[in-house]
Amino acid sequence: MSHAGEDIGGNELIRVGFLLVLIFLAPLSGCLSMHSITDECVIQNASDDGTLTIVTYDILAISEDVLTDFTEQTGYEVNILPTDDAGGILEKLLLTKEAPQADLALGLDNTYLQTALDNCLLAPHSATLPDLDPQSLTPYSGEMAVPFDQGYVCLNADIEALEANNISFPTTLEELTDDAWKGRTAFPSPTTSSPGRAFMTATIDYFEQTSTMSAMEWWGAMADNDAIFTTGWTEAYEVHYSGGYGVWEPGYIGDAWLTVSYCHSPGVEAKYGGNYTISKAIDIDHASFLQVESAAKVNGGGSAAAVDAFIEFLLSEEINKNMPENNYMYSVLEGEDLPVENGYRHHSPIPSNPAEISSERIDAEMEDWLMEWRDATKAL
Amino acid sequence: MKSAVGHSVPVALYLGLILVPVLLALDRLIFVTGSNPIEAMFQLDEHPLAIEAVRFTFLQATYSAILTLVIGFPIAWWLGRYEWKHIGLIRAALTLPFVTPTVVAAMGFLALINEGGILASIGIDLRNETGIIGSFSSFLGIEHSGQIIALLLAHAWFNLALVIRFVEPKIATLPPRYEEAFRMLPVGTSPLERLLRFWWPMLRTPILSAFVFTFIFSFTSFALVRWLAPEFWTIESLMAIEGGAAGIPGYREDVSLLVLGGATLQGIVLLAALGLAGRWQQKQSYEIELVSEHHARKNIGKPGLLQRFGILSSCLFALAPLFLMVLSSVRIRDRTSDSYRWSTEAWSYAFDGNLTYASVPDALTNSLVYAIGCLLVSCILGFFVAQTIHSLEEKNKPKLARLIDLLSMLPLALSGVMVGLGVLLGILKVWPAMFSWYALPIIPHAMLTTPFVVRILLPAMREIDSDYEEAGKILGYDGGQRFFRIKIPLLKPHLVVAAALSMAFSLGEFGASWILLRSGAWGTLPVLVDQLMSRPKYFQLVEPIAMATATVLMCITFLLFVIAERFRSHQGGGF
Repeated sequence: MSHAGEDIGGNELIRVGFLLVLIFLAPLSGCLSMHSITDECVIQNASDDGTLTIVTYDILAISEDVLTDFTEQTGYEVNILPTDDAGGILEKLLLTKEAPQADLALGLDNTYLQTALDNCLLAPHSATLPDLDPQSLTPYSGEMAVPFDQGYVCLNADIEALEANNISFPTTLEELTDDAWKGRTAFPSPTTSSPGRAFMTATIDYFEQTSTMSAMEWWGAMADNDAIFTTGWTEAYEVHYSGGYGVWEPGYIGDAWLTVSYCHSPGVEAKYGGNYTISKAIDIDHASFLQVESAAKVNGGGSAAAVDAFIEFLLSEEINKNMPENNYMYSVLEGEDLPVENGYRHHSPIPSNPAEISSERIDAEMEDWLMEWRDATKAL
Repeated sequence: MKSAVGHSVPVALYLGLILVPVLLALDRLIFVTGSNPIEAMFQLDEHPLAIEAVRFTFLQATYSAILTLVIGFPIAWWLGRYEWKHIGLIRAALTLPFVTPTVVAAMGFLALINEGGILASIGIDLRNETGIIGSFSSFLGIEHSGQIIALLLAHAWFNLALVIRFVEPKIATLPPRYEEAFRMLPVGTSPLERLLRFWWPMLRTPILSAFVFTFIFSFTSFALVRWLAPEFWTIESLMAIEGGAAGIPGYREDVSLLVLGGATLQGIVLLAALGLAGRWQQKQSYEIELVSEHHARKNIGKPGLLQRFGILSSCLFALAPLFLMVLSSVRIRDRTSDSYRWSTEAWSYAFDGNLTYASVPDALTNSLVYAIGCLLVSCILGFFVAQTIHSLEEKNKPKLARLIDLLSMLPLALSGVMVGLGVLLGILKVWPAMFSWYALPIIPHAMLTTPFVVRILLPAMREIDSDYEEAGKILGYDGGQRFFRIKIPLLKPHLVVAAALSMAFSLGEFGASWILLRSGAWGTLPVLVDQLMSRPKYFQLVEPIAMATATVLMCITFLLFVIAERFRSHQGGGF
């Protein structure tokens, strides 16, 4: 009589053992060839499948309606690969470098762009561009990326809270290490937040230009002064900052009188507050940073014509002129500014002397800065 | 030989499914960091938050397990000792939290502790830590104690069913004459002596098992930590948040080191805890005889006022967060007047998907596709793995059976985030194009659910009388006919339970899906809830929309749970 699995025993044990060995050895094969890193960029193009795949974070301006308009105008379907933030775009491009998943990267800012360029993640576009604000081309003006919005990152402070506590507006960053500010500042982390990263970059320049203290010594002193560090801008601004719209939100704490946001954030507050805001941008020399967000063709991605069409669509007057309304950022079109209605422009000062740090230096030193920042603040 | 291949192929496939992604991910992380897993574990202190995260992980998991026992034991005791009307309903209410997706649990607790919520209105402000909680924080000198209390309570809420399901059957089925006999002894007259010398030895194993499993679930908890204790890091949440940059050669190698070291530490702790629980459970299985629970209950009689109040309170505790979450989806805060109004607007937004890339119907479709895929993979593989183990046991090959049994349990020693990172990094190494494969999330879901399928089917297979198989042979049935006409019908209730639980688990799975889909286009319902809650709340409907989405997820999961419950036997403990 034959029994199912009659020969299970010694032979079966060997077979299962062999399978396990195979499983364990499988990952070891070809390790070195899989991980080879090249220095030169080889530009590659995948085929055009009629669909434009965009890797991006949750950019307000890229709404479902905008994408539908694009499809109606050009005939290209759009597929979105969402990430957490600008850093997520870079990480996704790096992770999938060997088999790119997107055709267009939308939202890499100038603190990430150079790393993407150095890692051969981007390819030249062939879009026809309108006249762009020269300032938006300061960080990068080549053919690998096109700016689509911009704005200065700087400190924002709560006017009412400072008045009530008899504290003057800070004119230097060093003042924030005083006892009066103990536990009253909130900073989004540069390791997980784009505005946080931009501001940390600005502090490098600030302390190199104006102080005997180093940037990381200052960050350490801020940590000692109970500065609040958050993983994202949202938590710093909505939950902790007392001068913003967070006051209306569940979970609001409002323990910080000062935070990092955009210099035009008070303008956005005023726009929705009927030309009234208690938040004010602080213009300290070298303590603000011009953040420019870019659209870039992905190296190894396809649908080149669709990429060019989308870049042209994004820079069209119809879309880009409305960046201040739809994306709460400045347009990159030449001659455009924030609307004056409801004090949007009035409450949005342009920093007189922003930080100046080259993209190349940011790329070369960012990783070290982040490690030093973490060590100094003991935050994420 | 043919059947041997039939046995070994599914086993190999399953072991491949669970081991290959994790081993490939390990290989990638070892390459990037230049450290082996043990070295990486001892280098965790290079990350400024890792040591604090390790400390907090152990502390919160231990305190959560203790609190769960403190709350759960009296409930299990009362349920097991007295004759209750509607015991099925009470059990279902108390089990609901455990089958609730963790992200739904997080939303439920947020609804409970929010400003304007029930707790805040009676002065217990766990969210903003004012009033009593603020004073309590100052008194203890512990910052954010409100968040810690909320997290521990949520863990206790979530794991309450574990204590009840482990302990109650033992109390309910213990022959009453044992206790009566002990009472007759000189040492049996004092309640304390009875507790220490009779009940503790009797209940030690289920209590310790419940403690260990609660510890494990709290140790790897992610959604609850993320939303209820945002000021704290656990190993799981730190790996999840930092993990996006892991496994990239030449970029943020510190992150790869953290993930490698953190995963190693977690794996060791979870393996040790599971090993311990396994040993206890094995001991329990041959310790004492049991009787029908109805017989034992009748012996004590009906519950008194205290017991009724206790069980009613525990049912309210189990249901309140879920009820409040549903309420929060239609209760809109008006920011100008700081008042609330009732509206179904958030539901319209949720179904239209106006605020996110995916609407509720889109995310629900994705979730259901993944759940059905997970069901098929885990039930088919789980069935054949269980069949192989059972067949080896029958043929007196206990060592091999035990080896495969142990290997099949390996995923239980992996957290959701570890599995997600494993699949992400492992798959990317061998087949980067799979990154954009729609069905990718089925792999981690199946990895995590197959061990449960094996655990459900294996005992059922052991219970099937081999005479049925022999009768089939006498009737002239071939192997296929015996399989479809005898085995499958006999296993049907267990297969339905396994299928429903696989689907429910897949629907609610958060950690692995979050890792894979936070950068993917096919958001599931739990990921959609998280995305919504992460949005700036300048638009007052954001949180109600998240609550509405979580409500949909809860309803679908509970439907599957009801199906599973209909087929589940209540005769034994455990899961």
